[in-house]
Amino acid sequence: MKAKIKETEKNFNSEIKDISLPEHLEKIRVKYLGRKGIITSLLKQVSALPNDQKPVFGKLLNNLKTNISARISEKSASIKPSKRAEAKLDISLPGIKPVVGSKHPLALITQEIKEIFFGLGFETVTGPEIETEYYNFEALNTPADHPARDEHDSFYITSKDLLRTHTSPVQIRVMEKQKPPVRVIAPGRCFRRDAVDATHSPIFHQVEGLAVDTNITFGDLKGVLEVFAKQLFGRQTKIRFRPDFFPFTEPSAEYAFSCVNCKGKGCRICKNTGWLEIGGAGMVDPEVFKTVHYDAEKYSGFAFGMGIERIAMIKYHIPDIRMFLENDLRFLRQF
Amino acid sequence: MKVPYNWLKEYIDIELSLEEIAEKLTMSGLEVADIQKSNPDEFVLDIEVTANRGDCLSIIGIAREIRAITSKQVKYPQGLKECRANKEIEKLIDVSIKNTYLCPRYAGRIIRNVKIAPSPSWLAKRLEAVGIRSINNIVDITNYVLMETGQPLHAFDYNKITGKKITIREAKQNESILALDESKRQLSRDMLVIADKKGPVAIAGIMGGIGSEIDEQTTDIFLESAHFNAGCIRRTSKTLGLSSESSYRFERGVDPNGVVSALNRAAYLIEKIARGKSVRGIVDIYPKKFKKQNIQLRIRQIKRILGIDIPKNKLKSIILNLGFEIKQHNANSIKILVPTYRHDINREIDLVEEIARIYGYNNIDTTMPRGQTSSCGKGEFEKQTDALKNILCSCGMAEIYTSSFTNPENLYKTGLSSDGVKITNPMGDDQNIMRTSLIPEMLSVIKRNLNRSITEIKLYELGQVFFENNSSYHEKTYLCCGIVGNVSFFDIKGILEIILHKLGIEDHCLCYKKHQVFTQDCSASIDVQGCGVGITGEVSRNVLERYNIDEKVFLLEIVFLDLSKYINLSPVFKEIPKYPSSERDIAFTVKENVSNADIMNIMWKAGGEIVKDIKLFDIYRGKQISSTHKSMAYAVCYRSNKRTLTDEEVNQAHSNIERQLISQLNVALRK
Repeated sequence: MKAKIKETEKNFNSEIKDISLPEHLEKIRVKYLGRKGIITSLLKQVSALPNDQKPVFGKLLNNLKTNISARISEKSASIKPSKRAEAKLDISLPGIKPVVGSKHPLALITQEIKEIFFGLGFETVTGPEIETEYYNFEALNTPADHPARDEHDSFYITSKDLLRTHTSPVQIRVMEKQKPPVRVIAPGRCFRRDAVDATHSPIFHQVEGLAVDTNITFGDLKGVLEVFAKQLFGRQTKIRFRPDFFPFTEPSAEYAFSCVNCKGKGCRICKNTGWLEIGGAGMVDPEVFKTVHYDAEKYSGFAFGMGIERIAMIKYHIPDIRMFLENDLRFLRQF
Repeated sequence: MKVPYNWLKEYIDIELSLEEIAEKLTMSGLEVADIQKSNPDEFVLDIEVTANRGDCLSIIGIAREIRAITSKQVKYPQGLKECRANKEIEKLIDVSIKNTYLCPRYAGRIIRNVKIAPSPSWLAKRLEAVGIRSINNIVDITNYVLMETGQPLHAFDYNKITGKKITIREAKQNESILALDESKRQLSRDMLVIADKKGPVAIAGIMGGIGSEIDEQTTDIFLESAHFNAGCIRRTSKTLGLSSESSYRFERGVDPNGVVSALNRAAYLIEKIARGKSVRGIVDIYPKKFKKQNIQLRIRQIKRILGIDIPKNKLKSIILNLGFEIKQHNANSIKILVPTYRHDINREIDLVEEIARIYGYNNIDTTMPRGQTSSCGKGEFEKQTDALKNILCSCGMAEIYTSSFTNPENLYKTGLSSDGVKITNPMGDDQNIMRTSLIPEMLSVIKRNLNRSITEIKLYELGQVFFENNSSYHEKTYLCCGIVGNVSFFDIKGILEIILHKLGIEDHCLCYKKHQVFTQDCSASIDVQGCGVGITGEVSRNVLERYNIDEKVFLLEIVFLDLSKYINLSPVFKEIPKYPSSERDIAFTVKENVSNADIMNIMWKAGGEIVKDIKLFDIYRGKQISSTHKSMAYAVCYRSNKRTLTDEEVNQAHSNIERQLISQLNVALRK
């Protein structure tokens, strides 16, 4: 046994002397110290020896192992400096990027919108996309022969069921279930039989807002939408209200933000008006309150709606609404 | 509506500039969308009139709005005197209304010896400016007065009225009329017609018939001015697919008390321009007169709804400029009489809006809502979907939004049932049902991106799908993930495992289950606590061929609504191990048909509670191993939460694992 150990040591010493390449050194390491290496096999042999000899040879062998291991490290350090001149780190080489995903721009903007309204004490509610005429129109004070229905060219499932043309039916569903105070927003998908072009899509998304309490005023509606405008588009954003008509609000308004692009001076995006029309709003019509059994003498409320695509197009400078459903990864990965 | 500026100025003095007046109109509710210059000194305002303001669909209507914002008076045009005394007309025509609900008022005059000719150029030009084609002097005058006053008129050739008898009645079954647009219209019993002895001569309020048309030979005319029920006109117009300047106005509300003045105005112009002579007297059947609305405005309502106080004097001047009368007023309220042309004003709240819009929405102070809120921000399901999106995003997946519409062909292509909620009036047959799965569109989007030479694709969609069940509809939120590129089934499985782990779902597994979308071998159901919540696998060649996709595609689809109840978004802190762990490796060959899950199950059981983790780190198939076998290598981690484990304890557990693997699976250990 002793001879074997001596022999091994000798062989190792002669082999390591002429090593000059790290890969050769590695071979030697494996040969002596590897799982199936010489030392391991010697250790196995030692364990087969009678018990009184084990410690002696065991110790010898362990010394040798430590030795070899130290010599290899030493050698390794001495041959490390490569033949090449030391290269300076080129920090302009490309970074190694982990793969990250993306959220759809409509999801991103919806989240941003929601978060602003959370801060104003609103909560999220949802409603079905297949609606009844009752919720989509009648309960919203828009009976069958009302000309306002002209703007809601609808997809019908049956004569009474249709794809909702706006998120406003969620107002009714919330008020049917809940007594004031109410402060909700309802984001969701809507459908209208509009011919497709750069700004129209039969499938689009809206966010509806509703606040009802004993002392809600038109001034509050203006305040809430003004805070919203400034948070979404920046402190300098101005908001403008002008009269409009919706059967389920009275007074009704259309609201616009000062053009984000030209700051109101007039440009292509705002068609030189300085204003970007955002959506419709108003005070909840007493007829609607009657439908959901709220006392219109006691409660008042405001409601507003906005098109999510429209806001995303303004915010991200997206020129064509069709891009949202096209899902080209070169588009999606920008968000 | 197109409003030539010079025409408008005939009825009201405007001291402001064109731009100023356009801005003021816009800010009080009549949006001036555009100003066109039609010739050097004529501007045409393009005004968008909302559905409630039928009264603004005329030049005078616009002039009245300008009165409201500038306090100037409206100058009404000249009409022919009504001579009600000697009613010669009664001998010439007999008019009766069968349904006074659908036709509350019908008036007419007869004008003889007119000379049909082209209109004078000023008249033709004005009509052209508002988008109406000039036909002849009589027809043009009726259109002119329509544009001027908003009251639709119709001129019949008196000599073509059979029996000189006019009845306003509902159409009979199988009646039809050849309308002025030269198409034959089939009528039904809910439609209102103007009929003579022979049959319908006009579809009431919508269009006249060719049979009684004014032509070059016409000498005597019967001029109609009437009021029809808005809903009836709208339904008929929708059913027939026929709309006109006249029906557009009736649908939106015309002043029943403006019928006769418009009639007289037209008669006046016909005498002047077409040289006719009016027969004495006027037909005017008006059994139930529309009265002005009497509405009380409580002054405190202004503050309650708008949030501001408007001084009473200001209130009064707004009300008067709107053309309303003040009947009575005291400190708390004002009693207001509203003219009948404002059919949209019926309630106190309508008055509040009128006052607000003339006062100016932008003059109302901005405030924030006070009082309590019941809000709790995000709902539970929304928190879950938001969390899911964040997880997928961090897995490198890109979110897509696809159409909710599909068609049976598309579903068939993916091997899905072609049943779905049908749309009765789709935009096209390729979009005639609501999607029942997110997979077909996922594959379309993958194909679209492959076409654009994008090869590494990782997409997800979270969206609503739709089902019908006993004619009630169900919507469910589904999740679909699809990956293509340098990936295998274990990439989609890895994504699934991360999703479930991050959503706090522990007890889950994949069970082999055949699904038409997937290949024979790689098709599984995703089970959570023993319930199937979705499917995953490799898309079969058959399906891919139908999409012209050459690459391998791996998908998963989960009924997120079903998964939702297992989700736990609040992780509970677990003590960080205080005592060291020991690792032991185990490697063995085993028959090919033994699954990793079989092996793991045995190892977990055999190792006992000190086994804290088992990791597969190698699978090897090769020369040294029989072709019916594979070599598997696992690292087992042992630890106790109470003390440092002794070598004996670990060895004991580990050899138990070895023994069980040998006895149950007949593995051969490799040492």
